[in-house]
Amino acid sequence: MSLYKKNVLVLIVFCTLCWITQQRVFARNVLAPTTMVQQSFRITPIIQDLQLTAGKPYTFPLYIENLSTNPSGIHAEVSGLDQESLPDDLISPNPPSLVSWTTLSQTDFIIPPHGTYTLSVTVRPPLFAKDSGYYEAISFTPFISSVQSLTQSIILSKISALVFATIGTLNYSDIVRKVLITDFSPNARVFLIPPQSLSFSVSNTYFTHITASPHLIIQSLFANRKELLLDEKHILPNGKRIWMIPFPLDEFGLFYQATLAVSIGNGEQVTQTTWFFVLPFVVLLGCGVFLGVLLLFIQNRDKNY
Amino acid sequence: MTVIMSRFLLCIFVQLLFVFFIPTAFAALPSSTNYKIQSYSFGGGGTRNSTSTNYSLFGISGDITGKTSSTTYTARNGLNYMLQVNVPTAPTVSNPGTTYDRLKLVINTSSNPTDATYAVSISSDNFVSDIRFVKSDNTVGSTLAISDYRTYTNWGAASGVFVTTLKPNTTYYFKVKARQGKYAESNYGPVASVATSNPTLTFALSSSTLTFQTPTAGNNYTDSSESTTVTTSTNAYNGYSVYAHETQSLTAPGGKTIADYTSPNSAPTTWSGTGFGYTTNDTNLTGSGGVNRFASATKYAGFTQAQFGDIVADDTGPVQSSPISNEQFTISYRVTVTGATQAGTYTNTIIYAIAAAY
Repeated sequence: MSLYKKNVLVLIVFCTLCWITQQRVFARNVLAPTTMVQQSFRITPIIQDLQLTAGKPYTFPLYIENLSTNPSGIHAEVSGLDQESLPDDLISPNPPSLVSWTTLSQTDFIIPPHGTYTLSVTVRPPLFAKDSGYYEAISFTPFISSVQSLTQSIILSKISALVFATIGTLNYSDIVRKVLITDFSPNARVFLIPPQSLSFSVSNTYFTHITASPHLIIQSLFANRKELLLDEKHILPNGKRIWMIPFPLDEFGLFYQATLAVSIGNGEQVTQTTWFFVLPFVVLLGCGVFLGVLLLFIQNRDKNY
Repeated sequence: MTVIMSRFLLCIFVQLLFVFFIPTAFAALPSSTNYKIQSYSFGGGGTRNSTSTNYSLFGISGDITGKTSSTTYTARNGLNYMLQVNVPTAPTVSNPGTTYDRLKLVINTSSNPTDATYAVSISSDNFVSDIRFVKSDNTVGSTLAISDYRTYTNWGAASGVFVTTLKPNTTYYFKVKARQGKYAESNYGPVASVATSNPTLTFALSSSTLTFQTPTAGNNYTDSSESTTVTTSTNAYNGYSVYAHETQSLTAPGGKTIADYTSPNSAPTTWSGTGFGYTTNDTNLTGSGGVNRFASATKYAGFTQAQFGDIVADDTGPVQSSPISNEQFTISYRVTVTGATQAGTYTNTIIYAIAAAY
């Protein structure tokens, strides 16, 4: 074989090895289509926001798809929103429950491979149900239909669909009065260096849950204005959520004003503003020296007169 | 006194003379041999007209469609025409993240000047009975206010904005109108539509059983080779959280147990001693103790037996431009015993619970 042909062959082998290596290194987080998983489910809808009427039943479907190649038995059950399942920054007493008003068309069923099961969920709020938000989780856990070896530990999945419901009419003018921004930090007015983060809480004393969508504008004397659209969060009745964000301005601005507007729907917003100075030590020292010199000058002038 | 009184009365008489008897000098109505303007008044903010037998002048203040016309002659809009704004073409609407409560909207300016402002109307039934408006905070409201008219820049320019507070699995229709200055406003342009999706969550476990190697002196009575990979896809705006708990400690028939590793989820530690525990490779985990408290799957915690469990994997979103698709995290197990541990088959059940975050 000529030298040229040998070099070409080596190059082809090298490139092939590189390609194979790259495939193995970068394919780590991709679910290979030939991988057989033991439990794989899709639930739709995973979050529901219902408007209920006292005394009037309401039925909605939940779709459970079995995405695996094995038939799967499913056990469905209804439970309240456990305190443990609430987000860490959600401070709320246990929310009112829909559980006692809810029935499922079936609690145990088998879904064939790649099949879909439609579960009917009926909520029957009593006539005397008061205006409030009500909440529950509908959980689906597979049960293993074949006899399992007693020498193995079992791994199970449990998928919960959340149900948020409201009995009563929303009045956004009232909501604005019942939503408060609190603890909008920084609380101090003068800093030597810019604060590391800004934080605030939004509390909801309205009778049902709301979605809070905060918008923050920070302006300063010398730095550019910055606008941030922050993450939306649901706030349950009598609950509070906390936002914390890194301070967004890198440039020195001396005087800063932060305006927070929290949208709660229908164009209504709750706003609050805070301000603070950032006076680095050098600036403070310079101001002190200047004042000292000025005082001396004034004193000397008075003596001369 | 008599002289003063008489002069005072004379002044009053002269003033009365000017008020009642000397006519005010006004300019005569403009006229020529054949024509005369009958009236100077005209509609101020409303509709007025001046007419003669053959000619009429109609005008509506503030309206760009006013015209002058008679049976024979018509005067078209003159300067008024220049104040019109172009009717915007249909906006570009899409659902890039297959989201269920928001849609992306991009205004098309149709060559309107940069100071033109735009208002957007939205409907779920193509404006038959449901007619609402996109508000200045991108939520949907029932009334249109001046503040809801925004410039192209404030509508997000080419990136657009996400219109929120929408219902899932619903087709929404959008149309846009433009305004410039105080008196020029176009009609609504053509309608564009797109649908929200349903909120879904897909969850898969890589295995449904767990079998450790038999602990011997040869493997230092330790096995850390087992793991479970959780794979999640969702379009839930705030993502998802996966919690894990066990139904009991590793227990053999007869009641003997292997204790859980003592470090909690909020303070995992480098492995030390004996027990059964886990670690996770999620380096951005919410909850107490810091986001990377498991130090890239090098520190361990023991399973809790509390109902919902401890958080072991999550992705808090937000999901707007693209859904979470086939995201994987691996939870690895470790069991270490001593040579004095009673022989037997120790089993338990581990449950991974997942819910959309809100």
